Amino acid sequence: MHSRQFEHLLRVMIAVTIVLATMLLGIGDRTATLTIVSLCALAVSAYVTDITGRFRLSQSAANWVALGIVAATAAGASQLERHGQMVAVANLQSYLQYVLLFQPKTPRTYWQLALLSLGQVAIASTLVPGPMFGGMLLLYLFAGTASFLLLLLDSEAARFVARPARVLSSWAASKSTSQRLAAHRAPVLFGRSMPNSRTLGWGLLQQATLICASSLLVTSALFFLLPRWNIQNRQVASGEALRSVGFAKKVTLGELGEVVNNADVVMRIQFLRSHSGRPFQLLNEPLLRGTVVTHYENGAWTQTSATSPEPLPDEEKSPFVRQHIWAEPLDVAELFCVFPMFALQRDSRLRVDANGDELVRQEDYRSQHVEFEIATTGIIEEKQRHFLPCEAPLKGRAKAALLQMPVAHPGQTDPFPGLREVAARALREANLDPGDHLAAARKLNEYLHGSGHYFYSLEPQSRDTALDPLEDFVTTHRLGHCEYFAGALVMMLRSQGIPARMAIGFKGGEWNPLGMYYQVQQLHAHTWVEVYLDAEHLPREEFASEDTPPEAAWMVLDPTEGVQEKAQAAQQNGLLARAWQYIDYGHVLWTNYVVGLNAKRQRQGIYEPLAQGVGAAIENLVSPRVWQDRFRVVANSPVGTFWEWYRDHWFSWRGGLVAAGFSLVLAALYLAGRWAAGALGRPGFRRTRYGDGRPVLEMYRRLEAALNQQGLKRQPSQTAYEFALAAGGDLAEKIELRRLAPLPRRIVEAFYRVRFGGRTLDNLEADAVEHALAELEHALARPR
Amino acid sequence: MPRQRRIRICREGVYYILVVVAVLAGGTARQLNLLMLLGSMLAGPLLFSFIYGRLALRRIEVGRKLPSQTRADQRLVVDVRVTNFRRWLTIWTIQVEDVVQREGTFEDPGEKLAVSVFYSAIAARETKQVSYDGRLPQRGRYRFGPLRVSTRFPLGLVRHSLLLEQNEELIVHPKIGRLANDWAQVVRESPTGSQSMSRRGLLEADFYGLRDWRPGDSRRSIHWRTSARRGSFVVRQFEQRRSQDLALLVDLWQPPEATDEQLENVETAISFVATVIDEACRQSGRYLVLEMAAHEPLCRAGTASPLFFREQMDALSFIMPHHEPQFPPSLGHAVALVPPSLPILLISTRPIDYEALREAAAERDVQLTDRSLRGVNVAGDDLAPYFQV
Amino acid sequence: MATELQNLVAELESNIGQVVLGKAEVVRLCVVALLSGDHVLLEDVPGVGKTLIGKALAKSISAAFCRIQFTADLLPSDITGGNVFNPQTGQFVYTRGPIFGHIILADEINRTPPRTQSALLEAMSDGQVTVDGQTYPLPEPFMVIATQNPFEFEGTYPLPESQLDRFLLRIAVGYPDRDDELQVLASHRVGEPIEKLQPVLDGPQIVALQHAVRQVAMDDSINAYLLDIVDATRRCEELRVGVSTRGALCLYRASQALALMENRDYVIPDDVKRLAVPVLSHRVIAKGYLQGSHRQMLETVISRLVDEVPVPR
Repeated sequence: MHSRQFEHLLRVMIAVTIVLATMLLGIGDRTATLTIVSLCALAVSAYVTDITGRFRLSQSAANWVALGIVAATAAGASQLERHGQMVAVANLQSYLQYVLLFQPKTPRTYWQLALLSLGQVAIASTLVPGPMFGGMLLLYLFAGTASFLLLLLDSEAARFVARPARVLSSWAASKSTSQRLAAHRAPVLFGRSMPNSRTLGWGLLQQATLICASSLLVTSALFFLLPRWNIQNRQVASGEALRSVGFAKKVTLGELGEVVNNADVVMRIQFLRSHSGRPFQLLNEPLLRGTVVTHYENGAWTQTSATSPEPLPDEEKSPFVRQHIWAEPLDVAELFCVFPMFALQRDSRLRVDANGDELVRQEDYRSQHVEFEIATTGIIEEKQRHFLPCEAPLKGRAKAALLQMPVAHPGQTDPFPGLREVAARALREANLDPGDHLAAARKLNEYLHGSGHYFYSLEPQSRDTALDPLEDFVTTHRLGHCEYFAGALVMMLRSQGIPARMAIGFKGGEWNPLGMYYQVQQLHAHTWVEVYLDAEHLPREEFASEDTPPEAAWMVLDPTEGVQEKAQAAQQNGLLARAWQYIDYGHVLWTNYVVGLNAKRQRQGIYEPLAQGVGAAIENLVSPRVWQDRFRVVANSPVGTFWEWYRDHWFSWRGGLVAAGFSLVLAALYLAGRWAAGALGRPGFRRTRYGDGRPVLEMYRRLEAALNQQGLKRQPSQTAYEFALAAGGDLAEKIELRRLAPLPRRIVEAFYRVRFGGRTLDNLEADAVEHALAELEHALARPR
Repeated sequence: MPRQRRIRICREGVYYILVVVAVLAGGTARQLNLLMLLGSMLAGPLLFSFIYGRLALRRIEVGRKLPSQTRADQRLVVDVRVTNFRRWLTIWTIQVEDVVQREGTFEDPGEKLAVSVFYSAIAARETKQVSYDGRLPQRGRYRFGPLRVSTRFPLGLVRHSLLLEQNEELIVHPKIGRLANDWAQVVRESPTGSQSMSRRGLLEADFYGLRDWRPGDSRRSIHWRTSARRGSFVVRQFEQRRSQDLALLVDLWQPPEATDEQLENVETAISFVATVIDEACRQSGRYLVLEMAAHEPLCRAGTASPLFFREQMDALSFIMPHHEPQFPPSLGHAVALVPPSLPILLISTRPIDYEALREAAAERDVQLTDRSLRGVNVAGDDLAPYFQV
Repeated sequence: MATELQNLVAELESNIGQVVLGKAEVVRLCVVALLSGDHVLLEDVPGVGKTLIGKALAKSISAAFCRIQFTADLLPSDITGGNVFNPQTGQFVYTRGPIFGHIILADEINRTPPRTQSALLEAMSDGQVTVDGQTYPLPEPFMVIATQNPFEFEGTYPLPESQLDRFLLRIAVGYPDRDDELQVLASHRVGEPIEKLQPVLDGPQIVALQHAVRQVAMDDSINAYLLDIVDATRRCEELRVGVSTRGALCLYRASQALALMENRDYVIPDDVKRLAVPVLSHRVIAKGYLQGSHRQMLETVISRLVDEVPVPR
């Protein structure tokens, strides 16, 4: 390839690198201005400076311009706060790049450009927390690697294209040679050609990919193993806006519509078994309660009274399930989880209100990602319970609040005549006594849910403004969303003297089979009903398993027609959904193990599994029992067993990490071994020249050994036959050994027949040889 | 082939390592995970650079091919070939540095000259050859090697190199100039005036061929066998080789503190001798005697052949002048050894002292006047009319 | 393989041995060359039986034998033959030269000028003769036994180094032992014993033997050993030119022939070792300025090199 083509490619890759860096900054700042300006500068400089060469900034001019820019930025940035200063520095780096772009390019220029863009990425890393950063960083790595490859090729090639002749002074005839003689006798030597490769482009691409891939291995190992010592993450200055939950403590009917199709992620929640710590999926859809409202007035639900938050109860109850929650920054204080809950460890960020109904976070952590783990007794056998024990039976005002109904103002009629009527009729038709709270509540729930009288719709409905919205929903326009269903049920229950309240939170969420967690989006927002049951109404069988059955409990009823479920079921399938799951899981990993990697998580997630994994692997390798098991498994039912195992274990990122770490260690050991072998010169590895295919025959070896006893040694350049003759001559000189003299020659002749003639000795010959050998060995080994 | 590995971090590499360390240290000190990520990501290629070079240089073979012989100031082309024995890995940006050094004396060790050739890429199982060329100005022995193979691939941060003790020698023969067409006559016109006749017998000349008998031909030259076959007389023809045989006596002298001109004269004398031998060896069978008074005297005699030529050239490549102020008597003695029929050419780098020569010859009972002797003083203008370097 | 052929070889050897006394090794080497289908150069002082060996070998074979005495005025056409004008037919007729025989004894080959030498050597290497563009194949078997006298410089034209390797072997005959010399005197009392020699082999049998030689097996390790020796000559400091590939091949073939003669159908390292000096010493050129490098010196160098190469076991 021609060196000019190199340079074009190099310029393109450098440009990509520069633009990527500005894009990374742009993500942090939520602006594309810098990217666009950089693109313009690149285009203009490519045309003006590189291609046509019309305008080139000289070195000194460039220095002055750069100095000016630095001074201006310094002056401007001194007034800014920290974040602003960082951005200013990042911008400054871009300006310096522009100056460089208009200079004639040398490898040095490219290096400077690359360094400046690297600085920008470093700044961006303190501004951008999202997983997008990771993706862009990968691209950046690739572009940067490719740029450096090209830069190297370009500069190395440039060095060899034209080399000046070198003059050597002392190559003349003798020591007294003067300069004149030397000058015209100076040797001129230089390497000439620059060979070209046909597949340079592809080869380079492969190389860049190879480097990136292997770099990523190193990157992950290094990143995860670098020491962390803080428990909490230092928060990066986040440019992200707070996510809206879509509702507040005050819920006004008819205002929910705007959030229902919003797919913003609110939180992720994972349920873990208390003993094994393994995540699992609930058999029913989880109801994650945020808050409860009791007071209804003029189409709006509010809380009765605000209580001061207290630390979480930390008395352990069992059986419990751990819930691991990652909450996005939200515009409300509440957190959503399965109730009832208690703390597994002290967490200063979390508070619970006095009634134990609401989990909130401290004011300071409102605008942050919060991740925590608490326990709940609300899940038994992988199923969320419909009965929540109530710690202390409600009395007086608290209980009265659960029966509150809008009172008819003077001059007004009762707002719910129709509703009362419908509720009473429903019970009457079922022959139910309203005094049996449990049965009555269930009956009324069934009336709304599943009886076919009411329909679910997220569309804003036209309501009769003269009526209360709930009255209108129950009697006239029987179409609405969860708030209408839940509100109507609460009112119907209260009209029959059954205390109830409305719970606000999320239902379900996207189950992510990769990460084994639920991803909760705004569109999962839901309201449902909690019915208060006194001791007398409690269904005993529900609490049969508990040692001390509670004196009161809440029964959860969800009257909303299940339309969402079908929609979700449809969404679960499909490639796109699958892809989104992957992306979301990536997001979780990024948040947890990249941005949020701290000392504790590093220890738990990396060091300990690594240590265990290595230990287990060693155990696995050396323990005979494990090998027995393994053989048995393979022997018994090879495919089935393995498939079972594989299906359960095919993906475990911890396992993957352990495996990767372990293979790195193995590779390192291997390399060290090779190196050590190399350093020791590998004397044992050298192939012997002869006899590597065919071993020296045993009979000859024995002959030599026997003659060695007599002090007769074969010289390397002696043939076996010559040796035998020489040995025979030696033997013949000794009177007592004279009879042995012909034996070596005979043996060697037989040996030659086998060794070089490729024969086999027949029995007679073999016997003769054996006899001769035995005689020799006997005679020569005898101490004399 | 002994190999010696070396890793050197380039200047760019130092900068890069500083940046990586700075980013990693900054990230770790302030526990900024993303900065640490960036640092780790930068460390990857660095580590790769350290590993790659080892891999790349492990299974390659480098060889140099020198021409079998060359002359001073002749264009010298040296091929350097690199073979990549790997099964799939292309190796990139391979630089091979060769060292050329003229073998000098103790006081004047020849300066080393490093020459580099460059291979942008060598695919797996491929051999590439690149040459470097140039001119070696001086006769003598040149040493080539060791070869240093190095690469800065992939990122130019680290230079891996491998030193291969692949040493070779090249003997650079003296320059060969051009002789004027009539130079052979110069040899025969002896200043001493005595043109001795050949007393050699008939059969000592080269047999050339047969031709028909002409009146006047000696009967001794009739080839009877062929004559019998043909039925008419056929005579043998013989080549005159007497005129082309030659004895060269050389007084290669140079004062201890030589001027440039004197240095030049020595080189010119050597070139002239080389040229004469070259000319003589164009046809085989000529008889040459070479006697040189030099730092280490040289005495050769033989029939011209490529091998003879090569031997003399090798000897001339290393010959050094002597510093004796007197005319070397060995040249006079040599006259006695030269068959009387041979014309003698005496070459000197100073005015010839015929008296001393005559005396030395007389010591061996030889009269110079009997011989065809021609003296050439290189320092004067004797050589200029019929020899050019 | 045919044992009868081998018996013939033994018979041939003993037949020659009747006449050539005390030169068993030289005779054996000559037979090696014969079986390899190659030529031999006998080199020694006059009168030690060089010509006798050649004659005895030729007489033991019932094949056309020619002796060419090389002289200074011998012409190429005296060897190869030439076109002669026939006045009756008015045409040129090709008359065969003495080279068209089975066994050629080229006596004192270095007495003739290079042009004539070349004619013989070309015929030897090509197995054919070309005269005026017409090619005439030489008969099979074809063997040249050349002799040359090393100590006579005046009026000799030593064979060029590059052409010496046309001969498979260069053998120094050497003086016989005292006992053998006594026998020689005794055997010559009545007349020339060589005249009584009867042929024991004929041409086709020789060709069959030559084919049998090619069937002799050579172990890989011996091949490696052979090449090691060849390599050693190339790396040797004292030698300017080492043994060529043709030289290696010759050693290979000669080893096979020797194995056959010793009643084996496989080569052993001893064969290679024994033949290295006679096969290789005239194929190398020593450093130093003495031309026509001394035979003895070269033989010493080669045998020393052979002694340095490890033998396969």
